[in-house]
Amino acid sequence: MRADVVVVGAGPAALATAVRLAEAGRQVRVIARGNGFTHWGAGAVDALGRLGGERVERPLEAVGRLPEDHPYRLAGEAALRDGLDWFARFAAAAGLAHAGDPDRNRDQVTALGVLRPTCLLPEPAAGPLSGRVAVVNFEGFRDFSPALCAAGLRGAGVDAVPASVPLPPWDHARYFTAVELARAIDDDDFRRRLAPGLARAAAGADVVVVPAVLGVRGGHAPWADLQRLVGTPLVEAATAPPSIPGLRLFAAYRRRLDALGVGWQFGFPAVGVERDGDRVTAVRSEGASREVVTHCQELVLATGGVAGHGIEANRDGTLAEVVAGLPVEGFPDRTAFLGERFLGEHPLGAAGVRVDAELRPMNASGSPVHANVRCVGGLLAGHDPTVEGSREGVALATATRTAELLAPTPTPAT
Amino acid sequence: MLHVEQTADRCIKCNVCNTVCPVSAVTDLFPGPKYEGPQGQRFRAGIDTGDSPDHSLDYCSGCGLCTQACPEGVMVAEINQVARERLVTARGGLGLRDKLISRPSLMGRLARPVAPLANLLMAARPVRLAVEKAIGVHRAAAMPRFSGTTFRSWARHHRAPSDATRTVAYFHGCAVQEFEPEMGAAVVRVLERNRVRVTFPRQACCGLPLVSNGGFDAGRAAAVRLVGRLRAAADDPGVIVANSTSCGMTLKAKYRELLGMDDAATRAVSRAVYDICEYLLELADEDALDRSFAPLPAKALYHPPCQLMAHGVGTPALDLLAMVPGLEVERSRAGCCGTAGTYGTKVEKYQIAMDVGASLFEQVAQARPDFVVCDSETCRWHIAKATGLPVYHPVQVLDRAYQV
Repeated sequence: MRADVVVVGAGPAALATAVRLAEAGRQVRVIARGNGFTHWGAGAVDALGRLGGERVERPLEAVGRLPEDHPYRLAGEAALRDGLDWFARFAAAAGLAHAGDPDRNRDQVTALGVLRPTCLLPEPAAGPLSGRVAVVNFEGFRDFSPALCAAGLRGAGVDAVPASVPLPPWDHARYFTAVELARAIDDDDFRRRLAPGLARAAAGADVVVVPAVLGVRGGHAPWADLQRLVGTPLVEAATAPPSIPGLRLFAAYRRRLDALGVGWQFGFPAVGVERDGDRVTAVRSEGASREVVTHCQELVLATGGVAGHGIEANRDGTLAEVVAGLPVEGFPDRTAFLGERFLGEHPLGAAGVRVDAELRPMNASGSPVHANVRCVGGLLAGHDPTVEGSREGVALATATRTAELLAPTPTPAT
Repeated sequence: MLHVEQTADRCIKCNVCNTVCPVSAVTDLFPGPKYEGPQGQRFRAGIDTGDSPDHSLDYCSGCGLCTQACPEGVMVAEINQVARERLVTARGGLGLRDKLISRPSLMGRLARPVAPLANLLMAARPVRLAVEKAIGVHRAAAMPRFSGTTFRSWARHHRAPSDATRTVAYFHGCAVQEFEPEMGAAVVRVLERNRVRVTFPRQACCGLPLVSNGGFDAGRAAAVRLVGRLRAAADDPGVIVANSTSCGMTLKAKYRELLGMDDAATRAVSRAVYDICEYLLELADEDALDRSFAPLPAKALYHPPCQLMAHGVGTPALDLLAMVPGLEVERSRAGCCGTAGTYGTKVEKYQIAMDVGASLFEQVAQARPDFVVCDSETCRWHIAKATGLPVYHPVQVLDRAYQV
């Protein structure tokens, strides 16, 4: 196998990097151990939600206050702005228009009734929660409690009341999750039968919050249609995985990759590289019966941190980057393993690969380990995407920087 | 390496597998790979009664998309296949229908002397109705056409050119031998065009249909026999090409994963097997592929079969087809065409197979290609029946572009 650029990973950083490089004319191949963060996330584009324990209102402005080794400082503020702009255009062209701008954070409502700061929101999640809010679940959907969500919102000062509506008779009454429900809502007729009950539950409310299940195959069109039928603004709340907004986005990325001729293989992790001097010449990935070798000129690692399996912890307390064996920093001592809170500040969350200004992994003395390897997204040291709320922004900024470096725009002839 | 069932421990309950399952998307007879696989496994582990917590796992088509989507390395589809074997054993083994459809070479051999008559009969609606009633093969399911001659009889009369610079053994499998000898001839012509000498080691059914229907003991017997016959070819010439993506996948991985065959002979054979397009693309990477394809001004829709994606080599056919001038290729967005081997032929599963394939058939209807391209024979038969279009193996397209 052979490609100009191999991108390893399937999360926000990998998908954006692969598309941007292919759009710039590079021949790209994607290898991933499985699906990535799109399926787990809240379905919004976080740029910078928290800094020093405080909520950030102006993410782009706050970038200047980040440490110098933060991925945003390395990629540059311009790369973040350009990445967010590119994403907004890409998503809108795919029928997934987003609201928001990089200069001001917005609120995303979650299933717990928390208002989390984020930068760009898919339109179905973007409506303001003003006036009287009805929080409505679809009966039988177990991943959303309207009482819990409404209580959380009341705590945040929103006038919210819980309600639920029965589902029309359908084929999946026996077993369903967000996915089956979203597929049912893709169907015009199902929406028509669902709308009257939802309208009754919405009576007297200015806004209706529902779990993020309003269609998965038709982009945002099923949401817009149901909102029209109900006659009240509908706002999707982020729910537990699988993330329906993430599935919509993943499908859009894959369609784009297919249209650009980017080959991909999921389910078989990259496990090593071949080298010639300071260059990586090929990636080795698992295959059905023997390792598959994909030769490349450039390698982009978008494998994520510990949760994404880009980094693995060894029993002796050291950390290892799994594909190229790059040095990993940010994990001081095994006793630090015991954090106070699940997904709270934990040194593993910020562990990563240290890179230079061209996103090349560095060794302890600060020089690049490989001339043609770039690291993007959650794999990078110097940030904790979960705690600071920066995952998609770092993905897009570093994808943009990588595209600039590996596929420079040809200078017009003078 | 972990045993298939042990990988259930890696499950973090994220539901990603359920988002890609094409079967649970169209019927709630199958609740989804997460419930049947890693979750059901907790109730099976250590229970030696052979009973399973939920018999609906028989509705798993075995397409394997869940295993490929899982970010944690859970072998979801394989867990289900192992559990199905226990279910089948508890029922006293394969039923008559599953025994028959699991032995394509036997069916082909029986029908061969009367192939035209057999094809005429199998095209007759009353006959198909009777077959459906008698054994449970759906009246409308796609059936291969029996061939009056075999591939090996063609190969015996075939004169190989003398300019070869390398050699491969060809595992043609049952489908080429009994139903599609012309497919095998195309494989041989394309390889020989590239100065590859082709040998035809003695072979037999790989056992996949038996394994996927839950008949592991019979499948293992077939596997052991085939490994014995291919063992020498694994050393010399060292490369065994296969054009059936599902048989190739079985030889590469399923003997080890599902049948627990981890002996030296099986490992040697597994490592020697290449999908034909994988092999041709390796030739291209070494600049050893003849790229003088004649223009084929046509539009094709390429559907990579689910079993091809289980090889872990991506979609080599897309790279090869891109070398044919004038050929416009659109990639299928469907993960599975629905039939998944013999699954879609069963009376209780035919409609599920058609519903799973619906998104592919819709894409075909919208794209209006001149033909469809797909690497797997059962998928080709299913897609051809459902769309009414000719469906070719990628190598048949290359063969044509060499001959024009």
